[in-house]
Amino acid sequence: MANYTKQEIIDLVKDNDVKFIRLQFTDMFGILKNVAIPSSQLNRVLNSGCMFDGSSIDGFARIEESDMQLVPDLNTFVIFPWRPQQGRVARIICDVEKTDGTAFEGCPRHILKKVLKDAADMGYTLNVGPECEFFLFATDAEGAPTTITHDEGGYFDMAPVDRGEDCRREIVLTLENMGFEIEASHHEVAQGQHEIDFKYDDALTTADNIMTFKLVVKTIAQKHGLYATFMPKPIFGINGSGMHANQSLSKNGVNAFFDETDALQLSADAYSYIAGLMQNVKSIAAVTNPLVNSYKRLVPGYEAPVYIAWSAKNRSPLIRIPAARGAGTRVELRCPDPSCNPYLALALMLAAGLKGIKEKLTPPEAVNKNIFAMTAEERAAEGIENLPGSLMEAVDEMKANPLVREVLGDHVFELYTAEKEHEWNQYRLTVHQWELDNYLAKF
Amino acid sequence: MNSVRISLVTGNDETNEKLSAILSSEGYSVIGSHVSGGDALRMVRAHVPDLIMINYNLPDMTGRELASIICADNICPVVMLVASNERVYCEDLVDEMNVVIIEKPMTKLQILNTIDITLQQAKLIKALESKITKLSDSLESRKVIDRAKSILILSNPDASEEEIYSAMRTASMNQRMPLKRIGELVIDGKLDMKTLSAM
Repeated sequence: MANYTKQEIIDLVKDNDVKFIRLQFTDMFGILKNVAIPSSQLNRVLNSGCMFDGSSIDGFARIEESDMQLVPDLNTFVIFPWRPQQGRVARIICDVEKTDGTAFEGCPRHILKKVLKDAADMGYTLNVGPECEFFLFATDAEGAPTTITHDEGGYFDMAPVDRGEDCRREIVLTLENMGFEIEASHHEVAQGQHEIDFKYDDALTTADNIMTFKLVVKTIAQKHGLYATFMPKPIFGINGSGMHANQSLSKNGVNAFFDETDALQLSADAYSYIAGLMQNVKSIAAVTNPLVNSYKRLVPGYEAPVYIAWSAKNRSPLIRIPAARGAGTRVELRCPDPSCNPYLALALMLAAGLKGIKEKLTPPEAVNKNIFAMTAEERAAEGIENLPGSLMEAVDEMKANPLVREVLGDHVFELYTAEKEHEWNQYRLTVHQWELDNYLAKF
Repeated sequence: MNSVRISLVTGNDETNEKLSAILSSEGYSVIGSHVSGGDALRMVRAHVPDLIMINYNLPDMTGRELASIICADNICPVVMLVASNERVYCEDLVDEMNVVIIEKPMTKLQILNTIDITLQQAKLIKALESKITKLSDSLESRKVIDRAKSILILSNPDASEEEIYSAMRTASMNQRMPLKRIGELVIDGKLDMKTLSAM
């Protein structure tokens, strides 16, 4: 994250012929929203924010409390590199405040900041490194996305060319241009699936980065005539897209998860964090895996986690401890998918981990054998539980745990659970193609 | 003579076929003809035609959008087919991105002539661009070397300009580094006269 003053931003806008500035924020469901202002308004907005009508945005406010203020976070100023050289466009990420200057309780960024403050009060900073997967699909003649990857499309190719690779390369270059530090980018297991990992950073910056990342991926894909999707399981039978979250706490600039005297070289804090995550993962699933479709990914056979266990040896548990130690010691939670709201997801992961530390919880033994090969009885005997099997189960778990309501606040908690229940009901009541295929001709 | 490779995006199959027939009969190679802009984008990045003809009206995006993307990434010259009332929306494309416009209805002769001229122009522009790049590189190098020389002259009043330049040139030869690179190292303070003469 850069460190800009108001004057530096004004100068950058002038020197780079920036015509519009997009004031960006995220709604509680993780959708990026924006209000674009012409550069002539920049000075005013930097000094006194930008008013907007919150009631028009899903889950923001009722009509009575509709006037909201967008307050720019100067450090997030960035000029989009893909726009034309003349009349460029920049963006600033904003916090949402009420007109009296207090933070709006429905602003996800504010919710994350609250938990980060709790952590800071205990002396901890949370660092997160996400591994984001996505699919690149072709579009049809009307521009609508399909689930056809370029390999199967009907072009008259003379040589098989993976256009996805070109697109991914341009995405990485664009992200680096915007200040990201990309650690790795590669084609994933499934056809048309890609992964880009960027360097860990403090949780707030990472959450901002995840939103920016999704915007860049979608934009560059469109420039290539492709459609990028972060939907967790777009195609049955092949791997889905996850967003593994590598987390570590640091205290006084040093990694608090590392302890070289321990058998696994993990500290007591690390074990308690793991225990906190395991204790609460079912209750936060409705936020880390927010879609009906998310639960179609959390099934055995596709490298996605299903059972609640941790391991330093297995590659596909819910919580994995990568081999790195020292400054790189971290805990990897593998269930979240990229359709989540990163601010809320990180806030809840951190709150769960901190609860583990506050209450000095100890995790169960690590499970180093293949859980997928165990029977249900064996798993029950070892106390290994499952992640929720559907969005409805996840919402029920969420309602049963006071921690989630405490972190999200009543406003977001009520609106979020209500919307998810509605989403589930719509899905449940729809007659799906599968039912027609399997029942129509038979009965 | 190599066949010129052309892509077509006209928004409907009929026009695609007609244009395709005209172009092929004149010896051009139509390497792709598409209805949708998305299709065309995917194709154009993989196969980089020598020229693309785009209709203003497309089912999934405007020809404008497609042309902007292709010109911004400098993929190939663009010829846009517009109706007379659409022409006014393309003026900025002509000015800022060098897109060539043909107004419909168009004759076979118009199409062929326009393609010829566009290709010729594109070739000329490419040659000029390459020359400009060479010249600016050369100018850059010259500036860096001169700056390095003056730094060395100031810090070594006893040495003559010839001696300094000769030392730089010898070092460049012995180290198999471009003279510009030697200059950069001097400017960064990583090389002084002593180390230079020893190289």
